[in-house]
Amino acid sequence: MELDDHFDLVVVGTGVTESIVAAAAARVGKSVLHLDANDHYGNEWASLSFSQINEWCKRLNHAVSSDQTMPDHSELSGEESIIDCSENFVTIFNCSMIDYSLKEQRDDDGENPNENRDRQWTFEKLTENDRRFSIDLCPRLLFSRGSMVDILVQSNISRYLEFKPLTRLLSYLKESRELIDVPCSRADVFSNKLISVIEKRILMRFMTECIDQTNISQQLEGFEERPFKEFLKSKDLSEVLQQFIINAVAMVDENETTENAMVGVNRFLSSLGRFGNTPFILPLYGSGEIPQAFCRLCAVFGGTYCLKRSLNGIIVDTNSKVTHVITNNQRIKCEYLVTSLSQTPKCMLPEKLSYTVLSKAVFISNGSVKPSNKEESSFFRLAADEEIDHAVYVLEVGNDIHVAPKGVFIVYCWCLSKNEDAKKDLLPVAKKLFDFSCSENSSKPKLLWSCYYNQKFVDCSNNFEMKIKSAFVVSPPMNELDYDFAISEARQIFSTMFPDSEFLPRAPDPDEIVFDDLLVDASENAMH
Amino acid sequence: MIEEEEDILTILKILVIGESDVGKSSLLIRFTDDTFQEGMPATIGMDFKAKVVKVDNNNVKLAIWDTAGSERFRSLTPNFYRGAHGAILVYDVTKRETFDKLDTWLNELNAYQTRDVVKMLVGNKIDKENRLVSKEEGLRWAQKHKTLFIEASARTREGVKTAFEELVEKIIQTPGLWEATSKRANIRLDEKGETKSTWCQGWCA
Repeated sequence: MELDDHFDLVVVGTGVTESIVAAAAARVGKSVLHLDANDHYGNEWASLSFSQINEWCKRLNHAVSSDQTMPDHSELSGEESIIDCSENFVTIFNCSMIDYSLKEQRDDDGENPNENRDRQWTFEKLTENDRRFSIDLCPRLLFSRGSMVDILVQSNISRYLEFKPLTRLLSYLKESRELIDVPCSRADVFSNKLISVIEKRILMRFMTECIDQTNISQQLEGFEERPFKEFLKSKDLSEVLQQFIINAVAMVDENETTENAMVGVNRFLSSLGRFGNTPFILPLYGSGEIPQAFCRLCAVFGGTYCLKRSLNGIIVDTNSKVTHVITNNQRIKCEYLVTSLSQTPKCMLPEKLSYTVLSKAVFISNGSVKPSNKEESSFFRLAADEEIDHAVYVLEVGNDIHVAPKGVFIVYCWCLSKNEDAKKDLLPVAKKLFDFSCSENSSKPKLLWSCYYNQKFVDCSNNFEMKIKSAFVVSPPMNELDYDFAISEARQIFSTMFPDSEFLPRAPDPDEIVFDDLLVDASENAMH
Repeated sequence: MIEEEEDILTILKILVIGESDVGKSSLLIRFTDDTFQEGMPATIGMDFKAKVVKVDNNNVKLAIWDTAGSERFRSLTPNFYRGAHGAILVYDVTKRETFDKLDTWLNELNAYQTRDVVKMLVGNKIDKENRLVSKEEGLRWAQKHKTLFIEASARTREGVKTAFEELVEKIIQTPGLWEATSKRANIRLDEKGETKSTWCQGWCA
C-alpha cells in the first residue's frame, strides 16, 4: 500500500516529544505522516517485553551496517539537493547486559531441594512470561498535578490510559544502610515507628508551615541563597528528617540553595492527596504507553502511522528548505519535518554538539528491595556519597502496574554520569540493593537479569544552527522525573510551525458518556 | 444514555480488527447507531463508541474500539489492545486475502493479551454476490481457533446485532475475565480529579 504523496508534517520517531507534536498537529487538522525505524512504538521512550529488550541490547552491541540505499539522484530537479540519511546520530552506547538467571539454574540443577521453588526464575521461565514484561527505556513518574497530567486531562488523551498511585516513597539511611518509608501524610507520620514523638511534632510543624505559603516566605528570609540543609537545621529537624526532606520531598542535593529546594518542596506538596498516598502516579503497562496514547489521538484525527520505516533521503530546495522526504522509494512532499535526534541524519546536525551523558540501568530481581506483604511500587532518590558521584533516581515496579509477572520486580536507576560508564556509576547502587553473595539467607533480593547503558542528552530545544529550514530536531529524554522538558519542547516546536493554532484543545468524546465514572479519589483513604 | 451509572454491571472493552476495507467501522456504526453509509471513506476520526446492552437482565456498557486506520501499515499500538475483554475479527467474504490474513490478526491479538480474550469471527458483506469465501471455510477456521462465528452484512443489518450480543454473553459467562465496575481501582484522569484541589491534603488536621 502506498502512502499519500503530500503531508503538512512528517514526524520521524515515536518518542514522547515527537508524538505530542504529531497529536497536536493532527488535532488542529494538519495532515501528519508519523514514521519510526523501529518495529515498536516509543523509540527511546518505549516499553519493551523481555525478549525485545534482550534484542535491543544485542543490536546496540553489534553496530548494524545500514541497509539503506541512496535514492536515485536522477529524480531530482536542478534546484533540489538531497540529504543522505544513511548515518544517524547515535544517542545510546555502552550497553552491557548480564544474565544471572542462567547461572542460578546451573548451580541448582535440582540438587538443592530446600531452595524456595518460587525464587527459581530461570531464563526460560522469564522468556515464557515474555509478554508480561513491559520494561521502560525511559522510566518516569507523573506528579499528580504535574504538567503531563494537566496535558492529558486538557486534551482528553487521558481516555487511553489507566494509572495507579505509586504506593511507597522510600528513603535510604546511610548509617544503617536500610530503606525506610517516608511519611506522606499526617496518618503516616504518626504510625511511623522510626521517628520519635518529638521528631513527629517537629516534622508536622515544618510540613504545615511549608503548606502555608505566606508564612513560609517570611521564614525563608535570609536563607534563600544559603544551602537548604542550613535552613532545615534552623528548623530543629533531626539528621534523619533532614535527609528525607532533602532527598524524598525536595529531591535536591543538600547544598542546593534553599530557594531552589523549596520549589521542589512545593511541587511535592501540591501533588499530594489527589490520588493515593504519594504525590505520584504510574501508567499501567509502563511509561511506553504515554507516547502511544498521543499517537492514538493523532491516528484518530487522521494521522498515518508506519513503523519499521525510516527516511532514505530528505530533499531541500535552493534556500535549504525541506520540500520532500523519500521513504521506501516514494517521494513525499511536506511542509515541515520533525525528527527524533536518534533518527536524524548526522549530516543535518552541527559537527560539534554539546551534550551531557546519563547512566541508566534496568535490574530484574526475584523480590522487592523492601519486601512487603502486598504488591507495591516504590521510589527513592539516592544521594551522592563516597560510592555514588551523582544522585540516583530509583524506581521499583512489578505486577501491581502490570509490567512484570507476579513475584518479579523491575528496578530502574538513572542519573547524570560522571564517567560515561553506566556500569561503573550504577553497580554501587546495585550492590546496596541486591544480594551478590550466593548465600541462601540474605534478606536482599537476587538479581535475575540486568543491563546498563549510557544515553547522550542533547538539548535541541535551544535551536542550534540547523543546516536546513522547516526541520526540527527533538531532544532525547533528559534526566528528569516527570515530562516537563518534553512537553515544553513539543509545545515550542508546535507553536513555531503553527503559531495561530491552539495546542491540544480538548478532543470531543466519541460518545457523551464513556468511562467517566472510574475516577477513584484514593486521597479519601489516605487521610483517614 | 438513559441508564444511571449505578445500574451498569460492568464496562467491557471490545476491539474490532481485521484488514483494511472489510467494513469494520461499518459494522461498528450499524451496531451502535443502526446506520449505514455507502462508500464510507477510510476511517478518520473514529475512536470508540459506547453502547449499553442488556445481558441476563444486567446492563453492560460496551466501549467498542475502532482501529482508527492504523491497520493500513500494520502499526496498531499495544495500547490499543490493553485490557480488552473481547475482539471481533472481521473479513470480507468477497476478498479471500482478507480471510487469509486472519492468522496474523489472531497472533497479534494474542501477543498483547495476558488473559484469554473472547473472540468472534465475522464474515462481512454477505449481501454481495461475488462471494469467494464459503461459510464452511469460516466455520472451520473458527472451530480450529476456538472462536465464535457468524456471517453478517453491515448494509442489510443481517447478523450484526447477534455478533456483538453473543460475544458479550460469552464474556459475561466467562468467570475471571471481567470485574464489576464498583470494584475497579485503577485511576482514570478526567476533570473530576479537580474536585479536590486544596493544598494541604494529608497534612492539615
